[in-house]
Amino acid sequence: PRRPPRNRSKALVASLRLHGTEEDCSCFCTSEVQILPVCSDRIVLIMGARSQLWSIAKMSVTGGVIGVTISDRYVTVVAIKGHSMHPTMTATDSALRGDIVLAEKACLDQYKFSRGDVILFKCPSNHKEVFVKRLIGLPGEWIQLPASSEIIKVPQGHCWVEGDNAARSWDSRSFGPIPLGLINGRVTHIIWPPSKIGRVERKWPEDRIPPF
Amino acid sequence: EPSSPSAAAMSRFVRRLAGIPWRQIAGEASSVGLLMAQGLCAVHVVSEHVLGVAFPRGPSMLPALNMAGDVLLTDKVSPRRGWVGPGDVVLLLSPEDPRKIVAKRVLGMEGDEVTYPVDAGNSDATKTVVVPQGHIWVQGDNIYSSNDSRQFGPVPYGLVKGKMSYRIWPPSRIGSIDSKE
Repeated sequence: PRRPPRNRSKALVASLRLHGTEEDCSCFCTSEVQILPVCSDRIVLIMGARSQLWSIAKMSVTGGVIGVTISDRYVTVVAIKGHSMHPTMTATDSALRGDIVLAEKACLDQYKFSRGDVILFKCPSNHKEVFVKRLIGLPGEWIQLPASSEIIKVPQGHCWVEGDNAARSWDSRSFGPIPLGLINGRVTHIIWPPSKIGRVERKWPEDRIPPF
Repeated sequence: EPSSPSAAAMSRFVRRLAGIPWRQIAGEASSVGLLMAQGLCAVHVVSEHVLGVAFPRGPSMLPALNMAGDVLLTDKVSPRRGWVGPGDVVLLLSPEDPRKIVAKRVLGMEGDEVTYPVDAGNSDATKTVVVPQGHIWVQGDNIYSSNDSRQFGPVPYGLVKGKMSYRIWPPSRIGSIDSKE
């Protein structure tokens, strides 16, 4: 194939810079590049690699934004640390081998919960920590404290939470009822380890008098 | 050859339907839909995690905030990083009803001693409390008409959702929200 004049290959490179997408590169490739010398082929390859990097960056930002929105509004994945919900959920020292759960955020629209739900909430004395416990008392209910057989009323806008593993759970028995506004989500399923995959059921602890 | 005029009309209609570029329309609709979804997600991320807009109503923060009609920019980054201190006006979920968002001024952080009027307007009696760990004491500027920590006690810091930083409406009062002790 004969070499085209210099100014023609410059015009092609200029128009490649203007469009710069992969599709346009291939359009040019089919009709023009075959008769261009090797140096223009290399320019087309470099343009293709840079636009590929750009499209990867665009896709990751988009994916990140959509992921954050879904995790804030609909469903999120949380790894359990701590033993306060044993045996329903367990942790181990290594984060990878602790239980991983799915939590839904739709309940935060109206803050309507049921007794026995397992919820995620921010610790009242340290907003950076997130706890997972079971909801024992809803706002306005009278509940009996297990140890002292005291009866207390859960104030409006608050709830009483306790862990399934009473011996190793730091919960409302220590820090009192928590405002509902601290709740981050409701745990619905365990998705790891495979032996424990399944729904997390709403459960009332045995030998607890239901509140009224 | 179609046997009757109605059959001819039917076959013309079917040919017309086949001529419409369904695949192209579906492709364009799904790409527009995807673009709109991306746009909405971007708006959510910015307004929840970076900068939001608030329209506070009510008399509890007079004279700093009007009873209605103010439009404020809320900084969502500062509360997450813990850059909130006494004198800041913050948005928080009400501890009495989590569906309500209230705007109040922070008077004390954890460990601070706060002295507050117990019954403003009727008596001069005051009380002093120490704010527990992880909590803050919030009070409205208008102590005669404000439901705040004097009624519901210190609130956990985790209820704070944003810090009011700048007023953008009405034009006569555009400017940053003063942070006063």
